[in-house]
Amino acid sequence: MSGTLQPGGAIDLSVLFDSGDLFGGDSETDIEIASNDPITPLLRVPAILTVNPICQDQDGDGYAVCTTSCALAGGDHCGDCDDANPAVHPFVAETCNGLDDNCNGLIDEGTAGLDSDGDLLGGTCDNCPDVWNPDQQDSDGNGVGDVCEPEAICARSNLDTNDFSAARVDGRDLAVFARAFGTCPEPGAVPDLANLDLQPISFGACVDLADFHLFMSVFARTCGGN
Amino acid sequence: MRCLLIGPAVLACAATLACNSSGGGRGDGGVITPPPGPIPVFQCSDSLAAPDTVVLQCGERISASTWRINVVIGVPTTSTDINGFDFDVVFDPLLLAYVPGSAQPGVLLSQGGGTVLFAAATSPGDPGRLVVGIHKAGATGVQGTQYLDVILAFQLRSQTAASFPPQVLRLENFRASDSSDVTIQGIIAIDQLFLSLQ
Repeated sequence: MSGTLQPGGAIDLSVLFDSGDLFGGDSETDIEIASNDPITPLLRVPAILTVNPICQDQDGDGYAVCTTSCALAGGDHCGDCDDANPAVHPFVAETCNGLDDNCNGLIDEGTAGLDSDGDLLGGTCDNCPDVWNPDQQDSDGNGVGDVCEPEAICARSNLDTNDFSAARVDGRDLAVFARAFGTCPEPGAVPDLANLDLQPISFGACVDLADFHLFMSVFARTCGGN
Repeated sequence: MRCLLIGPAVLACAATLACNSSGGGRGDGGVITPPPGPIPVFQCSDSLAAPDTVVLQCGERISASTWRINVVIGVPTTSTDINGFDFDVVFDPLLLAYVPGSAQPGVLLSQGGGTVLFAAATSPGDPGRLVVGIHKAGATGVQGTQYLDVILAFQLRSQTAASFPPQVLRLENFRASDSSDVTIQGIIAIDQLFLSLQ
């Protein structure tokens, strides 16, 4: 570059590299400044050149895993959440595969089928289509979400734990359920224990037919004394 | 001689073959078929319910092997705030079976509208125990009066074609509750229905 620097003045210098061959880190260098001073026509100033590493795009999908200390290579974008899988990156269509395909922090959201439990997963992909479980946790890997396992529903449905009713879901539990049926929590309040589908907000937090269907699915079952 | 050694059933069979092969059998020397024995009938018997007493009553014979059973309360009831019932119907699972999905709520708890929640199912490991719950949603109870005394109906079918003597259906773990979910002590259950196949 060239220009005129007034006495006592300052100027920002920017250096443009073809960064493809650079490694990140600091390196010592000199900056030479031409001057019209006949005594020192060339001023050599020692400097430290700091080069940020390139934000990696290992899978070549055009999206890199960016940090504040890396520089984006030309043509790439930030936002990848799995740099080993070229099918995973922002703006790709979410598919029913148990992965966060589009890197928005949600798994399988918006996939096909009715989202009856309000967890943003379509019923055809949801491992627990009747119970709110956006995390899709499935500890035993049997394809059924933890909160949807019959034992879990049974435990939540065992609302009366007196006498013989302690070990099973029966009419006494139904009595408790019926008293809560049709009620809705105030905004911000904790939903009723009879809210078996665990939906935390809006109308889903009410004790409604969805909860009754879950209750019916385990009625007359024993629950291991829960 | 072989027939005699094997038994009378085979003997009759052999005799039939012999008659057919001889071309006779219409008159002289034909097969003598013993008259059929009486066909056992699936029968139900009960008695009336006293006021404030919950009993099982024979409803209707749906088929040769199936009865509809009504759960009724003797009326008029003392309580005017009946909100629900819990009980088990217990029977011999080798002789009788609950017809899945046949339970239907009666008119008692439907009085005045509102939602009635009911559930009836046999336990996975106990097919001879029908667990029943029926409750009104909300906090209003009812009174049992004439023609408004049926709590629930369900169907039982015979599991066998062989005769069996009268079997009592038992009501266990019974509780009637009011709209505050407090047990109504004055309402009790009595076993008085018998099913037989004879």
